[in-house]
Amino acid sequence: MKLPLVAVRLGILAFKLIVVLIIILSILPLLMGGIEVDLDTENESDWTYNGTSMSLDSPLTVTNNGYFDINDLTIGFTFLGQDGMVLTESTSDPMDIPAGRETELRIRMALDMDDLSQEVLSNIVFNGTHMEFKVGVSAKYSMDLVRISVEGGTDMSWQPLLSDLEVMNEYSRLMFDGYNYSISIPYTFNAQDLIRDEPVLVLTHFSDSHGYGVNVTQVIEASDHINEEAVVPITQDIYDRLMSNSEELNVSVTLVFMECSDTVTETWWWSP
Amino acid sequence: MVVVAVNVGEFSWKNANLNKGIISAALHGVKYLVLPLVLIMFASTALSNFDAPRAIETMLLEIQTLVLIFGAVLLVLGFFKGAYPKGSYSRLSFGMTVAVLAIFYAFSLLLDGRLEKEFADTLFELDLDLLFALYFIGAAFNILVQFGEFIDHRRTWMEGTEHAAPREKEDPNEHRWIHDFRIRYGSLINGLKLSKRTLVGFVIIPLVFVIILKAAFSSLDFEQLDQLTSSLDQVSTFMLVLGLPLTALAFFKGFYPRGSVSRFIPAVTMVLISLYWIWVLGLEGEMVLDVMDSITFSLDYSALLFLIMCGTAIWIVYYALELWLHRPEWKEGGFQKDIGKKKERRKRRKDKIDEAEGIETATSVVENDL
Repeated sequence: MKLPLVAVRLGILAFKLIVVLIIILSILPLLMGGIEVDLDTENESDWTYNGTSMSLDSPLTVTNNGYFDINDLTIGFTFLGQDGMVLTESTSDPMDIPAGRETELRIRMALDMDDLSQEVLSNIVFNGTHMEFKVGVSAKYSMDLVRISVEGGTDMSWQPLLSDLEVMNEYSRLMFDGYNYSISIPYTFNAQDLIRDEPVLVLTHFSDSHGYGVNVTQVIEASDHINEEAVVPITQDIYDRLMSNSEELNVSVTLVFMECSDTVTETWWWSP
Repeated sequence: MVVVAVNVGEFSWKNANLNKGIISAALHGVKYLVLPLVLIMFASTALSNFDAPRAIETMLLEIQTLVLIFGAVLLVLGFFKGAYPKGSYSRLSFGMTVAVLAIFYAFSLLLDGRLEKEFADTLFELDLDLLFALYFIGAAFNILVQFGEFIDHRRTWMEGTEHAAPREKEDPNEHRWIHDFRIRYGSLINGLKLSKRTLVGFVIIPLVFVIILKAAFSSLDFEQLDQLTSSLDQVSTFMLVLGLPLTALAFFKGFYPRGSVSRFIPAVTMVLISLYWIWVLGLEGEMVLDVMDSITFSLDYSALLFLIMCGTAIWIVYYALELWLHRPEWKEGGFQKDIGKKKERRKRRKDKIDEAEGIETATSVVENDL
């Protein structure tokens, strides 16, 4: 056989051997468990709220004992509402995981409140909702010749941030401290840990059957279970009347959080 | 023009070559006796470790007996096939017998369907008849190859005898590239051998692989594998659609000699079809798998596939170089068939002439003595 032909044949053989070598060196670490992904579940971070967004930050350790670098690793998250509308999506910056090293990454999911419609926000704060959570991981391997993508999704049941608002009208009472007359309206509600110590605005509107009405505004720091009372100022006439007469009273308590509100109205028959 | 002269004397042992016969017998022995016996031995060892049913062990013994009988007969036939020279009726007869007997040998190993049944009971349902049918197509080519070899080498075998037809002379200056397609330049054996190799490599082996994979998947009963199984069906169709034209082109590529345009064109077309074949077989560089309904795993290896295709495309450069380098030589040689090695052909011709001259001298000496 002629030398140039032998040279081309050898070239083709070498080319094919290199490709086979790349394939073997790519598959081998995957089969031998050379690439490990460890989501730190012991120090699992919970959702945090910073006033404008809710976020989840969690460390992820990737051990690459393969022969090739993992390049352009991106992790993306998408939250979809009940109607399938995209609520928010985020994609991490591309990261490289060099071969033979252990690399710690931080996964950050953020749900920006400004991006959400009033209805969705209201459901998140007061009603609870179902959200579809999708995660996608993609990376290049084998000298960027192979791109691997994994996409997964799950339904998430979102518990309301503020719930179980109740006016305890049966415990309302008339008060006189020597100077001022008032009626106390107790109320309770629950808040999630996520918004612990966050200020919640409480607006209480009181009215009696004679046309008297008054508003009381309070700012309460959120905690697991809140037992509070709104002290509504009244006149001496009303105080005296309620001390001796039965009467229909109206109270509405409104919680305001993240520019969303929820109101509970109670009407009851006051008896001294 | 092919010279056909039936001569019972062609079976005479003086035409045979003992060394070539021994080598051929050894090769046939390895192919039909040693390798199958080694495989049976491995299978027996593996089965004894897995506490296999008694019926399988009995069947293996039956297969072993068949291998010993057919293997020994094929070894002997292989000896005679190899001993007789190419182009002789004796070699054709033994070669044909070997090719036909090998088919019966493979068929007998199916044990009248008992092997398939036991295979289904123990592992999974595998259509062994279909696998045999695929083997049969490849093996049938072997019969044609014997004919091809006979026709191609008959002239060389007959050269130096009174039966040999004179070679047609051709003026190289009158030869145009379109003349490269003349049938008389072609070698049947080369065409058939390459055709068979292509059929086996591009159609039969991939199809066997697909049949085994599909049978294994069907036994797993995973819904997620349905998608992959339908992909395999598509791949099988493409194997046939692309593999059969490739087989036809391979015949012409092998048929025509190096340095001819008639070889270059099918060779380059084959490379181009092979590129598409790789692309299809590689599922177009993308694989998507749905795992547990909620997880989708996708692999985009199109860049790697392009790399493999680039490696294959270099063959175009090879065939262009081959045309360029071999053409002057082919022209110089008077546009001959590409069969056997030149030295071998020259030696055989010289031997025949010497033999004929020797007989003539001996006759004249006897005549003189008288």
